[in-house]
Amino acid sequence: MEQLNPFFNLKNFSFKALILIMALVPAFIIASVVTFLLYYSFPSIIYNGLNFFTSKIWNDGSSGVILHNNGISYQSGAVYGIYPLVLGTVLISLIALLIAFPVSFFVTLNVELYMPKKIRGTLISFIELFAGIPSVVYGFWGLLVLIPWLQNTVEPWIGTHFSGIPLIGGVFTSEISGRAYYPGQGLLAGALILSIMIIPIITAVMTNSFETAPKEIKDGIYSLGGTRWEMGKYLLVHHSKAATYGGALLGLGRALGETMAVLMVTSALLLVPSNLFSNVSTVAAYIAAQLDSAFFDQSGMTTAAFAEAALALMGVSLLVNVIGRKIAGRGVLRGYQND
Amino acid sequence: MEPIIKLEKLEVSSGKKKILDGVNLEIHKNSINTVLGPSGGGKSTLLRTINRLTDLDPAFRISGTISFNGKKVTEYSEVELRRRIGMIFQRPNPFPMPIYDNVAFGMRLQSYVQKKDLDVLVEQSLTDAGLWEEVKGELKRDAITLSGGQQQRMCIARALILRPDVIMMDEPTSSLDPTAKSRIEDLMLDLKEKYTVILVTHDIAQAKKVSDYTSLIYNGKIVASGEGGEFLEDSASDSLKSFLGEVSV
Amino acid sequence: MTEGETVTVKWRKASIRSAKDTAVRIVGYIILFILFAVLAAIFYEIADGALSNITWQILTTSNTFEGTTGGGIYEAIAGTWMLVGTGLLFSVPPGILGSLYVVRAKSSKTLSSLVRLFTDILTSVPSIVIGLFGYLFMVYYLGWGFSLIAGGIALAIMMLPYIFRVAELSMKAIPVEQIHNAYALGADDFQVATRIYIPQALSGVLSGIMLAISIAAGETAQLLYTAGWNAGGLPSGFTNNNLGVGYLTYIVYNGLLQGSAIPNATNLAYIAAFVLIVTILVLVLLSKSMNRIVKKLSQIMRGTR
Repeated sequence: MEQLNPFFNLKNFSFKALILIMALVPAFIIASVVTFLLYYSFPSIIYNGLNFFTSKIWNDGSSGVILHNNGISYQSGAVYGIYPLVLGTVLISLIALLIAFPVSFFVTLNVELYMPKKIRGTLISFIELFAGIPSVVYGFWGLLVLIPWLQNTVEPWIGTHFSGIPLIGGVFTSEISGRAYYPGQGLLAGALILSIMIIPIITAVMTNSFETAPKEIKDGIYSLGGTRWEMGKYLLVHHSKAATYGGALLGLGRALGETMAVLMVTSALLLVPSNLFSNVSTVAAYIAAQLDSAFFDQSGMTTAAFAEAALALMGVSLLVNVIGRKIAGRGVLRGYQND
Repeated sequence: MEPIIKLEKLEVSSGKKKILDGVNLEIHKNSINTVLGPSGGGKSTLLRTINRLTDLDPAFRISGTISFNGKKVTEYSEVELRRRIGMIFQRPNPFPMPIYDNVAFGMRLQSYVQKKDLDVLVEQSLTDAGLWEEVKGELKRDAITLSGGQQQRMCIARALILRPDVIMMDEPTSSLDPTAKSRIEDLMLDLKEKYTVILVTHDIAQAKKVSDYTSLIYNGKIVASGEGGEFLEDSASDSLKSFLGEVSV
Repeated sequence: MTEGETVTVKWRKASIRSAKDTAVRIVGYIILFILFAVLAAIFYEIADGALSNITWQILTTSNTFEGTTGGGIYEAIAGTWMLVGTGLLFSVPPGILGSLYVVRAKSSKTLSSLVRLFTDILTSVPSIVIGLFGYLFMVYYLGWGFSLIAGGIALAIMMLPYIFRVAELSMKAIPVEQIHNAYALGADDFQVATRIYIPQALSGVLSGIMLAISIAAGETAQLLYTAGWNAGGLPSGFTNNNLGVGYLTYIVYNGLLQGSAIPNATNLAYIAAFVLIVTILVLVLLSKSMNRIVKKLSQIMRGTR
């Protein structure tokens, strides 16, 4: 029973009100971010329309020449299109997933099926360490080690042996269709760095579903004469199918929104990639790289366009993550297993 | 008659704990061989050592010999050994898939059987497990929706499809209601015509009803053994009852 | 027993199946080896680059990004901690109090699951989106400028879900009888929270905070346009800190870009990355062993009483 006299329980009443308000903070933050970005991107949504997602050109227009139209201000000749960025984001993330998924799959099977219990725990915590390394450090290492390797070893080798093959054999010259080519800083570099970053997430989900699978099921497969590999495959591919897909989605969600590592190892250019080594950029990386240039656009339209890009990125990223989390279960928190 | 499985001086330990201590046991063909004993007495481990499920956990240390059809179990491949010695567990463990796929699982894993033949095999083993009449129209139904007793009989069908020589049952009725339990017990009696059954239980009544050869296990040691009914009916029965009751509760 | 038609069964070869098993095992070993080789390569590269140059002076000198020396990373280290501290200020209260709401038995179940959903959503907002929001809202709209508070709140948005989630998990692990008993004895929600939930879940709460700090210390994208960057000393207040606040990840990010102009910038980046990694490792280890630490501490406390 609640106390009848409100003054008597004032302390408890205010405490309950306080925890309720604090519990609403996350929702309040999401609502503010969405509302504010929507408010800021409004001019861009009106000005660019659907062109925003289909146009290949991003041009702030002539600096200082501000036009006004229907209450919207923009610099003369301004065009904003993020098609190359959307394509870059999707491709980099998908290729990263394509690398990370099988790696996580085999790592999970190996650790869970063939490693003694004692070593298993240590190995899993080591893999969690990957998740703890800041993305800027991955980017730094990518610039120092990965890019030179791609530039000096991989690309020349591909160039001499596979030059004719589409999607792989690129044109590794300094000039591609009139633009500078930055060797090494391409699709593959971004995808490789991202894959290292999402392996711990996918592995965490997979090992979690291994450890939560009922012993009866494992025993059942073994007693029918299944080998370890047959048991493990059954578990990940059939029994915990949902968690496996969910884990992949969580990895993808992380990859889509990742900024710094991609920014550092790619070229921040608006290019439509034509092969695995093409210079590309992603929505997140481009915002980080170019937002300061928007400060010079007095009409505010460039800022609005960045806000719209961020809003779109947030929408897609949330969708992928929430679905992923829904089907993977809430148990996994960035390399931090629980539940 | 030569025993189909023979355990000699079997010792099993996990870490510092000794689970089985010098077990000698003979399993007779086409009969129900019961290992009776209180929970935690090493009965399950005994079964798991026979089909080498214990190999999955490196913590187990095993010495002594187990021979199956005159050959040491370690000389078989795990795959063949587990195909020829089926196992049923305490709680029914249907895989989350249709009844048909459940029963066919082992066959698909172990053989190149085609769909047409598989249909025949699934029907045969479900019939042998006394479940065919109940499920024949709904083989696509999710196995998890079956009742506990039906699930357990489906698990038996799943083991039977591999045409094993031996079926090991690890307290197969402990999670079932009396009716379902009695059906499984009747089924065991049918099964022994074609197969050899090893039954592990702590239920004296069950042992009395079905057992042909009974061994009593306590603290990892076989303390007494004899032929089914007589052995359990004799004068030692009361002390046996109190002994089992005392330790199993 | 059926005597129906008999099917001849052709068994798969056990040797082939176990060969597949072995193949998968070997592929796993190779992949694990490569993975750990990469991890080792990253650690080695950073440690090697940092340890050959690290001096006490670099850690305690201001950064200049000018001339040949580029100064040190003093502001970056101190700034990182100031930003993380500000982040804690804004994320610990809603994290812990919010989780108290969610675990409280009498709270609305619908609202609780919505709170959980929004907290999960918060972990998946891309960091650059938080950065952009922080820039537009706090730096520009509210006029705080590049500042400690803008950077701190941007970090807090990232830290909150981790603190909330780990606190919630460890509060949920408390036996319900204990909580029922407390209510039955006449305790109110506040007393149950302060006497049972928080003390019992303390190690979990602290471990969540450590985890959140370890993540926040390594963030960059939120800070670029909220905390800005400042090499000229530490912020003296929460808002309008001139050019902003320094932080370690910026030095790492900017190191190679400046490398051609200031040779030492790359060295500083190595050192900053090294300091970051060591800090994060220590925090993660602390977070993982918080349970033991709290137990030990409470034993010591009880012993001295």
